[in-house]
Amino acid sequence: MSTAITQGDAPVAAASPPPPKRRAVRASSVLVYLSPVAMFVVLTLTTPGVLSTTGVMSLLVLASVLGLAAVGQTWAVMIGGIDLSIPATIGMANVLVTTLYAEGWGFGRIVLLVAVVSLAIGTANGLLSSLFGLHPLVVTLGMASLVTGSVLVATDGNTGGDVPGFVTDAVSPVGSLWGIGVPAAVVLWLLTLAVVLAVERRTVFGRRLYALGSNERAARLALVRPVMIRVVVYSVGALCASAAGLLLAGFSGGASVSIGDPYLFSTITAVVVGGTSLLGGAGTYARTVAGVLVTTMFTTLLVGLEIGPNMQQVMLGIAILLLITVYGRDRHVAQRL
Amino acid sequence: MSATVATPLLQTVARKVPYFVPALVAVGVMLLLTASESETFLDGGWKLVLVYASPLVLLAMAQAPVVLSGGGGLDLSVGPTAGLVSVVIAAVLIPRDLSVAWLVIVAAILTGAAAGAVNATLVTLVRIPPIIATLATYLVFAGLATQVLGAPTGFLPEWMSWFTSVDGVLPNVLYVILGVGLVWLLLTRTAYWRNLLMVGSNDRAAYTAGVNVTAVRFLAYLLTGVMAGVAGLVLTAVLGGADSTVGPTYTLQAIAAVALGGLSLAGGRGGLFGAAVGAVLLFLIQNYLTLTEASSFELRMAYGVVLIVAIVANGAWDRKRKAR
Repeated sequence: MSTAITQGDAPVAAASPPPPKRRAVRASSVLVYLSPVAMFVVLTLTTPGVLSTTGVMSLLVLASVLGLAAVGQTWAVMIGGIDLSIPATIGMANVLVTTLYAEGWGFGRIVLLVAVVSLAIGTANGLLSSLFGLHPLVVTLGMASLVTGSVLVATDGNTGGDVPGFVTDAVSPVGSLWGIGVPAAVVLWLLTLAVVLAVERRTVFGRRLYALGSNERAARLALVRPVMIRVVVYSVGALCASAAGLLLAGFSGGASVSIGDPYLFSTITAVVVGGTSLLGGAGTYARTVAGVLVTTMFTTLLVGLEIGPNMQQVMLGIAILLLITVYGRDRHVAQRL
Repeated sequence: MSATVATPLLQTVARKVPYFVPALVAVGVMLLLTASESETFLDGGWKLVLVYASPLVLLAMAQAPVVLSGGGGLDLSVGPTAGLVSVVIAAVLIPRDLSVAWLVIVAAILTGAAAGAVNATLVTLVRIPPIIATLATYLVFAGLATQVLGAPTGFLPEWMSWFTSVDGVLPNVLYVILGVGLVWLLLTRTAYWRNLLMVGSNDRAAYTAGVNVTAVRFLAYLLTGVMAGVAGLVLTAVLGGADSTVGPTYTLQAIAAVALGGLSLAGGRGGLFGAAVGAVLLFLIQNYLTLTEASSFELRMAYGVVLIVAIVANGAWDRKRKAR
């Protein structure tokens, strides 16, 4: 009997792909996590003003907004999708917070409302991208248009308003929370980072996330419910994007539905620079954090060198290409047979 | 045979009609709606609608080859490429008095081809995933275009108004679209078309069967670039000048149009005709919402709903096609 089983198993073992090249994988992750450090060194050498508490904190505040916005993009990419509705969600939160606060709503009520709307957006994204195997690219694109339009209709286009003082303090580089000299925005980001990484690495949900991303059919056979996972992924993403929208309100006081627009490509850039594969099933938010830090510092560097916004864009594009050429190349079709 | 009889009628129909038929039916409905809303539409107004729709139609057609080539094939840079072409025309050629028709047309196509070749090299030779590679070139092309041409300009040579003229039986821009379609039609008579679909549906099988996957995909990105170049030329004429910020806004619309037209974003199914029909549908929806005098806010909201509904309907139809 036992020999029969061994014989039966042998072809399966032979057909399974060879173990991935450990060394290559490790080298690329080391590179990803070292790049923010290297970038920081370059930045301090070229822009001396950065090397101060205020300088570092203002970098971190900028990074925390992008970091929060990129949570949803990272998870969406990890399950093989993409989320183009993040900018609209940021704009929604931004406008609702400022408009309703100016109308005298309590801050708690506003946050609750924004959270409910975010969950609705995420749930709709998750359900629709599960239906009929629709591509999340188009689903979230439509959702973005719907959300932005609804916010404009609801507010009649009057998107100005007011923000509570503590939101402004939260994003001020000299602000501090609980007397530890770190702005609340950064604290919020670090807490989110801890929770997201814990969920990815220590929970059943995290394992299902990777399972769904690497092979939906296999995941389904292993009793992973794709619809559930997608709904949670897009909802968490929308919640974090809303938090980013709230923080953005602190920067300017004024509000705009299009305030999130730059975050469409910058969240994807952060994910990609972090080396998370767009094919899904691999990667982690920790990599995205590295990507967020690198892109934030890179932009600061270019601003410091007095390079205009257009050439900044060009340089960012070239930097993405160079980085991905180093560690994100696809395998040739002959090596995937 | 009994299995065929047992199949629901809808399913049998779904399997027999080509992929683009649902979009075509929707276009028919939208045409009726538009005609009932606008009195001048049938009386020549449709020509103007077509002129305004033409950049999107051409860009959706441009998007088709790379989407068909599979492997996550997508060109986010089509919009910025078109923008770059219009900047080359308005800020490089015209100020130097190089505005002869043939020269501008050749320059537009070459600029598009160059952009396509850059994408093709990055995706097929350097093997950077398509979304990343074309996102990067999106940033580069859009940045360069704005750097070269900061403020919009509106000075164009006389002959370019040919593109927007609606004096003939058919609007002239239709000949451009048909011309691109004809070139594509000739291409579908070659082995390239078959190889493209094969690579798109299963690149490993295609490679094993001896198809040069790299070459097929390279050519797909090159074709996309060339068509984006033509789209840039028409965009310049339709805008009556060059504005570096307009091109990029077309990218996501072109992708949505391709999906509406029944092409599979996973590759291997569809064609240029479907992409064009999808683009016309998308434009007619926007146009109709404008006609009903909805506010721009309501318009944006309704647009999102319609896009989602259309995509869901398309997906449901597709499921019927594939069901056995």
